[in-house]
Amino acid sequence: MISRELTVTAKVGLHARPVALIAKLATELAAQGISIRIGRTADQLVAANSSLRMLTLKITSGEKVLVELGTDDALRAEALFIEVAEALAAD
Amino acid sequence: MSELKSFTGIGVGDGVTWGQTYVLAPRPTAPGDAKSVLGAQAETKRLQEAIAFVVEQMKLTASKTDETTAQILHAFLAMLEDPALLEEATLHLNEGWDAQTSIQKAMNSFTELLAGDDVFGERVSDLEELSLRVVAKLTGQDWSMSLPATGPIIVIAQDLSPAETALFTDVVVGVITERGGPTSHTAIICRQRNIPALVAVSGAMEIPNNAGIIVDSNKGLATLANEPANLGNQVTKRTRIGAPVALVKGNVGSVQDAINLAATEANGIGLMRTELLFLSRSSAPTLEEQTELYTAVLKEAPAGEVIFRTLDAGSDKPLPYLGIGKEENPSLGVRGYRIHSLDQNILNTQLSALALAQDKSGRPVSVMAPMIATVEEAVAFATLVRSHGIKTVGVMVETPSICVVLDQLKGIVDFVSIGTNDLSQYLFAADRQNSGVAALLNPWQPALIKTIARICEDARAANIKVGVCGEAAADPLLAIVLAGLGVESLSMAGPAVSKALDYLASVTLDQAKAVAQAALSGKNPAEAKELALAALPN
Repeated sequence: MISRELTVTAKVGLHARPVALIAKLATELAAQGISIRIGRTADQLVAANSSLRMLTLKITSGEKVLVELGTDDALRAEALFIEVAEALAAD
Repeated sequence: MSELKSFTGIGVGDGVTWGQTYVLAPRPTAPGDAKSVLGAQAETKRLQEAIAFVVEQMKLTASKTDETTAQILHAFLAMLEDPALLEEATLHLNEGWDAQTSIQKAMNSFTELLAGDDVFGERVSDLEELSLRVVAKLTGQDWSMSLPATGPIIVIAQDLSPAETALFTDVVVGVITERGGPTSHTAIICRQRNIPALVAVSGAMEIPNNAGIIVDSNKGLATLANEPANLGNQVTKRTRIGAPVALVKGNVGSVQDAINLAATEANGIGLMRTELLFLSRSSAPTLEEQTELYTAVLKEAPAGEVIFRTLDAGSDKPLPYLGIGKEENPSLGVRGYRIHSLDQNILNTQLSALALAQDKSGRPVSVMAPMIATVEEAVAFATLVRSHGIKTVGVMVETPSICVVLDQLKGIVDFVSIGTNDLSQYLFAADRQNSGVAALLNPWQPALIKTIARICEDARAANIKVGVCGEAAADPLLAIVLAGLGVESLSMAGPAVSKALDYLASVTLDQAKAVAQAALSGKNPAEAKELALAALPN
């Protein structure tokens, strides 16, 4: 597992486009056997393949989130964190 | 029946139109909670089939409608196919509730959590509608819209969902809803499709069916009228008659954005936001990583000038490795170019990477800095950029302070780019994030238009090119005004490019100047817009 703290910079927070983009990414990753969870703290992570669960976290713009990837491949994780960061900035 | 002849609400989009009213039938209703007589297994099957049906219908509708609506419908589909929804519903099915009760209870568990919040609460009505569609299928109720075959039709409804607006045919020329706000789905879709709409209209349900009505979204007014007399100016589609009176460029933040932009008619990139690469890190990206990213952007960007904006971050777009402590007022603090005084490496590395990308891609690079407030800063920045081998330098005009000393930038910078969002914020002393002062940030505010007029005059006298890269550029009518004031290029998000070009290529420069002068004589945003519209040639 590799985790990273990212900031949600999209104006709408963890909502609409960001959620849709991350859920889509989660589905793609699931097919590759990589899990992805997201949440405010390590003990409150939800599966990122569920838009509903992500929405109910009610994370607003400017807040930090913990993103946990089910892989030990550091390079892969790096590239994925960039994708997630872009999704979290999508307006 | 009410005696009212006119109705007011929030106007969406630009335009005045007339049509016959078509009042939508009320939505299906959900029966009360009930236990299952078929057993959990059979009920689960019923529910899965009903959801699958609604999903299919929605996919079909999405495939036939425009991009904006389709995107919204796809977001709905994601929620309907969300594993968490079925998980929740199964809990209730296993407690013996029937399918329609279970899906509603499941939906409620999510809507309860979302309610009460401005932004997240907007999803509540979407989720309720999705749930209702499944219930309608389960209970054999029809939920369709049979619009008349010929128009013009004004749809009247209590509220409209994206699934309903997706079913609009060309006969629909206007919309009135009792509910909804300026950022609701109805508003977004109608704006995108150029359908004049009024939302949040109290008394909308008293409007008679099959009656003639004028919808004026500029005034936020609907008036019953048997005939479409005196409609005034209608701004919908415009026909291109020649070259656009200003260049249209695109705003991007990633390589993918650049790829998407290349599929539009945009002439190069007017703003490449370099922050994204930096925001996902715990330490600054290396020279190699940056060079690779910038080279990729240059390779994918459409033909034309490509302008990169150097790092625009501050304590609100935090980069922990910059060492900016917590600030009371991030928008008035160490941000943008000011970071250079804290850490010289960041900007130098960025410029080295841009110079390398210039070589590798074979395309020249233009660079500009955000948040420049003084001539001294501009000189220092320009000198630094040129020392790295980059020839074309500019600064953003966002601070009121730089506006009044533009003449001193002659020979220092090649261009300036007006960031209308931040310029408005600092000019009107109004926080962009504060909806309480949103009216001051309306780009049609006379003081902003006048300021831009002066920027153009001073820049022209100093031989400096002027571009606009804020949201204002994407408002097509405002784009004509800006071109008329002397703005030479407008940069906007990819989806806005085509419409902007339609407008900019539908007038001559002299006509654009006349529209600009008309806007300048307005004493408030609504008047400025009305006068600009009136001056627009047909």
